[in-house]
Amino acid sequence: MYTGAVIRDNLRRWGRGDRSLAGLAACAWGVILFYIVGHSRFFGAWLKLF
Amino acid sequence: MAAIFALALLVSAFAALQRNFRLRPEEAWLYAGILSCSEAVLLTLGLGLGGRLSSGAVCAATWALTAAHMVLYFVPQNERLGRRAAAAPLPWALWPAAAAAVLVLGIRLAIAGAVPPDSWDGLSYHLPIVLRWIQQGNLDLAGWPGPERYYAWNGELLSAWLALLGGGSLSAAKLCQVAGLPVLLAAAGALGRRLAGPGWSWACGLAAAAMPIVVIQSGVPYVDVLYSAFWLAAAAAGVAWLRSGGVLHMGAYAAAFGLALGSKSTAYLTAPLLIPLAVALWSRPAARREFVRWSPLWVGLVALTGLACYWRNWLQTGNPIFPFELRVAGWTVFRGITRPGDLLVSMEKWFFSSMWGWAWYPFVETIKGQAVYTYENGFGPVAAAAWALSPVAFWKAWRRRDAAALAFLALLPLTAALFLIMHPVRVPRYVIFLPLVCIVALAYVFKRAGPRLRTAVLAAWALAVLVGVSGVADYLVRNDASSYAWSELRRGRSVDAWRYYKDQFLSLGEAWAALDQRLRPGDVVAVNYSELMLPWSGMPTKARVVAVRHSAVDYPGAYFGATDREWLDLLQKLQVHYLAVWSPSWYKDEGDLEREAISQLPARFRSLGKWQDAQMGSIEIFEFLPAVI
Repeated sequence: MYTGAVIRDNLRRWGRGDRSLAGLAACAWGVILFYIVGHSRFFGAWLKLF
Repeated sequence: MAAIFALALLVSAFAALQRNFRLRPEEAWLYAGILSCSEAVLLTLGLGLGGRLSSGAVCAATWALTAAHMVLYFVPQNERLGRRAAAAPLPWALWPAAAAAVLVLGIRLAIAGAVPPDSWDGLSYHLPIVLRWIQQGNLDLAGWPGPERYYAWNGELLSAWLALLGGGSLSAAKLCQVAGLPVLLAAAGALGRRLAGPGWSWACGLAAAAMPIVVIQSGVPYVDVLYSAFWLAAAAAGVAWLRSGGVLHMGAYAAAFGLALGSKSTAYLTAPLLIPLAVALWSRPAARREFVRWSPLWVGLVALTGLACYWRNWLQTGNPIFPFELRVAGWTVFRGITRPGDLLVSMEKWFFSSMWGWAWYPFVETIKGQAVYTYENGFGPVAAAAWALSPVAFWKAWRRRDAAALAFLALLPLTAALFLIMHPVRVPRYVIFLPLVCIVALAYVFKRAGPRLRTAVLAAWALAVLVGVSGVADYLVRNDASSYAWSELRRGRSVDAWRYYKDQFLSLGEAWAALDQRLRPGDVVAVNYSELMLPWSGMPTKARVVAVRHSAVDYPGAYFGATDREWLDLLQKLQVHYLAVWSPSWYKDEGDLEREAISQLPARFRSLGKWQDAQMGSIEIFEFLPAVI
């Protein structure tokens, strides 16, 4: 009973932490995608390089 | 040949350190990089001060040091080593980005190796100083026309070392900054591992070494990458000492701090690296005892690797930071001829219109209105994401009461503030280390991410690295000269160096090519305007180039003649054979006095040609004829 509660509590904490980290990961993705939009012409360089 | 010597020194240092100390692999490589760079700087400095700077002596000294490393490898200390930490594997999500980064870096270095020495400052003073040392066999810069003879010189010492390892040609010296790449990779990897765990080691190392401006600059003879590599190395060794203690970490911290101090005359940006030392002394009694006991070693290493150039300035001018003046509360501490605040700040306008533009700049990274990378800018998208999330890293470090992380992260606001307050020429290339701190901070934010979330972050990380190296590819094909060089390399042909210079420098390149056909080994070429000085020495370099002005120069000992007679006597005394008078379009009056003097003395000067265009201005070459008695 007690062990189960500890595990549930730990899982809840882990979930909370990971969810907030997931939000930060989404921010990182957002910044990178925003950056790519501003610099999309870079991808064309590969065609000129080869 | 130079690469083989340098690699042998680095690998043997790694082997000796790995065998004799219990180190994480990243730290073993980092300390091997610090050790081999320190040895290279010190041996070049020692031979140069002794007037024995020659290819044979440098090669012999480098082999002797490599042999000493091998002796330390084969005769290990009687120290019981515990289990060593294993190298962290490269996460699969990063493989495509790592492959693209290696490919683009390879192309970048292939182009840089095939073309003649490039870049404005590289041709104006970094390489001309190295060439002068090699031609003379010592470190004398008497007569040098500008402030560069007083600047920090570790970058030039490393360049001279590589040049002499390669037999005295500048082909290895122009790629000197490549020596900073292993240090940068290992320092970022070591910090990633120390602060975020082994899973982030490669991510940080890759993002640092594949940062667009780092890859671009590795092909030009500047010192920004070297400085940032030593700066980050000092931070990494400082954090390692703060976390673990130990004389090896402390010594590496001191040597890297000295290397950074001696690489760029921006001591105010290097000084914050003492934060890990201060935090260790304040928070760990064991560190206090260790530092007190080993402080002569710490101070000695900083002095050896970093203070020689400041000592030189002190001896020559009485001011270690000459030509800069230092005033504190109205009292002149050091008398100089320039106040940092008087220098140009107009270059900042290439990037944004106000100082506050720095906060937004990492997300847009434009130069003169164009979203492109150059050797002046290009931190890339990993740094943009890292910049956005760096406050979160502070918050997490504070919540975790993580003193080492806080000491490291504190470097970001402190150096950024000092850069904005004190640095006279605010251009991104001077602070390559700032986005590197942010990148480690980003890894720190995701230190406790679960496996799936970590993979999601690494995927974004890989995409960002890919975009960054694509921007480097864009840099390589955007420019006509570089594009021409790459197309020749792809066809298996060699690059016509003078055509490359003509594409880059127009009429000035034509004048260089015309003079090169006349130059003989040992000729002396005088120039009135010392910018872009190197190509006047021919290719391969055969002439000695001196700047001789026909007006007073502020710098002590610079060659100038205030009157026609003095100027003529000086040309004669220096045994000048050719004189190049350049009036650049941005300083149209430059060269007027020389032209006027030449017109008064038609028997002593014979014009060999004149070249001009709207961008570079006009250039005329004269042969200086002997006096008819």
